[in-house]
Amino acid sequence: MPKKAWTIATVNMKNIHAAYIATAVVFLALVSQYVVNAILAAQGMDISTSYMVSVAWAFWLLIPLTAILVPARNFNRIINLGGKRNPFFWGSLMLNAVMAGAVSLVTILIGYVVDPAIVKSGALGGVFVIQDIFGWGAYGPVVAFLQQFAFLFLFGSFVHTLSAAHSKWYGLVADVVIIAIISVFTPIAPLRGALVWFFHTVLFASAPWQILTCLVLGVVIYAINKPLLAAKAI
Amino acid sequence: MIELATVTKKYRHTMAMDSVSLTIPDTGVYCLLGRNGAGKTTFMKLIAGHIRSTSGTITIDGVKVSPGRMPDCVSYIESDSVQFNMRVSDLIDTACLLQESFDRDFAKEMTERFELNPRKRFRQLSLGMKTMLTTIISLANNSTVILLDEPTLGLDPIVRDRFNTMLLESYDAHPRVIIVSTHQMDEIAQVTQRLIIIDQGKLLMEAGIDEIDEKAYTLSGPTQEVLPLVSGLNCIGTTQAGGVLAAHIFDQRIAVPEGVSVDRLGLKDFFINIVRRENHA
Repeated sequence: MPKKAWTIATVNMKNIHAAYIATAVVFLALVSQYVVNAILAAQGMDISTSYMVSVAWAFWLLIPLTAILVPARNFNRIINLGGKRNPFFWGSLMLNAVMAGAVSLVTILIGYVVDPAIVKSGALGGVFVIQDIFGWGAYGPVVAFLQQFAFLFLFGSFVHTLSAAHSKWYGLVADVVIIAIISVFTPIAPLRGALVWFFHTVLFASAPWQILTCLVLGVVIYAINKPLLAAKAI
Repeated sequence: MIELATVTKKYRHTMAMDSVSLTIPDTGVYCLLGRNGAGKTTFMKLIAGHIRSTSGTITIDGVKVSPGRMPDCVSYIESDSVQFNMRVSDLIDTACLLQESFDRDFAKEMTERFELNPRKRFRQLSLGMKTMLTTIISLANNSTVILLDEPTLGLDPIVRDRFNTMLLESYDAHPRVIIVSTHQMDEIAQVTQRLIIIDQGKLLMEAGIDEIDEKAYTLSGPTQEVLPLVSGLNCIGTTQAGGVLAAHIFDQRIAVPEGVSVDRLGLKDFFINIVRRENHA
C-alpha cells in the first residue's frame, strides 16, 4: 500500500503541468516588479518607499491548483492505469503534505534569504514577506516553516475535498453553504466574531496552537474524501 | 466466480441495466455482444466496481462488489480511456507499480509485437495504437477477471488478427475470466468460448459458441416448403425474397426434404436476428 500510494503521489506530481505553468507565470509577473523597480531606480527615481509583493507568494498557487487537478483530472487517469481508490486516497494525502512542505521550504528560503537581501540593499524598496504578514517569524525559520506547512496542509486538504465533492450534487451544496456562511456571518457581529476567531486560530494564533489546529483540522477535512471517493463514479 | 443477482442500474430516466441475473462460474474468454447503448460498458463498470448498481448485488468469489470495494482481482480499462500524456514506456512502468500482478515482460513483448514506439507520448499515438496500449496494460495484469471494452476499436484487420492471437496467448498463459465487448463478432468468435448478449439493458442470452454453432442455422427454400418445417422450431427471424423464404433457426437440427437447404448462421446474423426479434416482441 505505501509503495502504491507513493507511486500515485509521484505520478500526480509529474502530471500537474497546468499548476506549474500558472505558478511560473505568476512568479514571472512578481519578478517583473523587481525589474520595473530596478529600471526606475536606475533612472534616478526614489523608490525607497515603494513596496513589492514577495515572489514567494507565487508558490502558494501550487497548493490549490494541485488540490483541484488531482481529484478532478488525474483520478480517472490513475484508475485507468490500474490504480485503486484506497491508494489514491493515501497518495493524494502524501502529495498534499509533500507540496505543503516543499512550498513552505521554498518560501521560507526566499523569505529569509532573498527578500531580506532586497530590503537590505535599499535599491528596490520594501517587500511584503509571508512570515512577517502572518507573524510566523517570531520563533525563527524552523517554526515559521512548520506554521506555514500546517496552514498550507489545511488549505490543500480543504480544496482537495471540495474539488472531489464536485462530481456530485453535494459539492455544489457545499459551495452554497460556504458562500452562505461567509455572507450571513459577516454582517452579524457575533457570527462575524466566530469567523474572525477561526481565521485567527488557523493563521495568527500562537505557534503550537496554530500548528496543531491546522494539522488536526486538515486531517479531519481530508478524511471526508474517504466516502466521497467511494461514491465517485469512474 | 462472478455472480450478478437482479442487477439494475438506472441513470436518471435511462434504464442501463434491467434486472440482470447471470453467473459466470468458470474461466474462459467470454464475448459480450450488444448494440451501441445496449449496456455493455455499464455491465463491465458494475463488475469492476467503478459504478454502484441501483439495486441487486454483484459478487466475485463471494465478495460483494461496489465502488467502495473495488475488487483487486478485476482489471477494467475502457479502450477510449483518458491517460496521462506520458511516454509509452513510462505508462507501462507506472501500471506495473500500481498493479501487484502486472506482467512487465508480457507488456514489453506485446509493445514490440504491435510496434508501439516506447518513446512516443500517448497523444502522439493513433486511435488504434492508443487502444492497443490500453489493452496491453489491461491484459498484462494477471488479475483473475479481465474486462476489455471495445479492444479492437480503430484497429485495422491485420492488427485485429494479432490482437486475437495475443488474447489467446494471454489466456493460455494465465487462464482466467476474460470478457471482451466488441462489434467484430465473426472475428472474436474464433477465440471466444461463450457469448453474452445484452440489449436495452436486458440479458438476452448466455450460451456457448459450440451450442450456437450447433443450433443456429438457416433453412432456405420455397416458402410453402420451409413454413411447415419451421413450425415448432425456435425461429429467430425470416427473410423473404420472391417465393424463397430463409428462416433463421436456433434449435435442434432437423432433417430437411430435397429443395430446402441448411446453411450455417454466422454469429453476426445470429446476433442481428436475436436482437431484432427481441425488439419486435
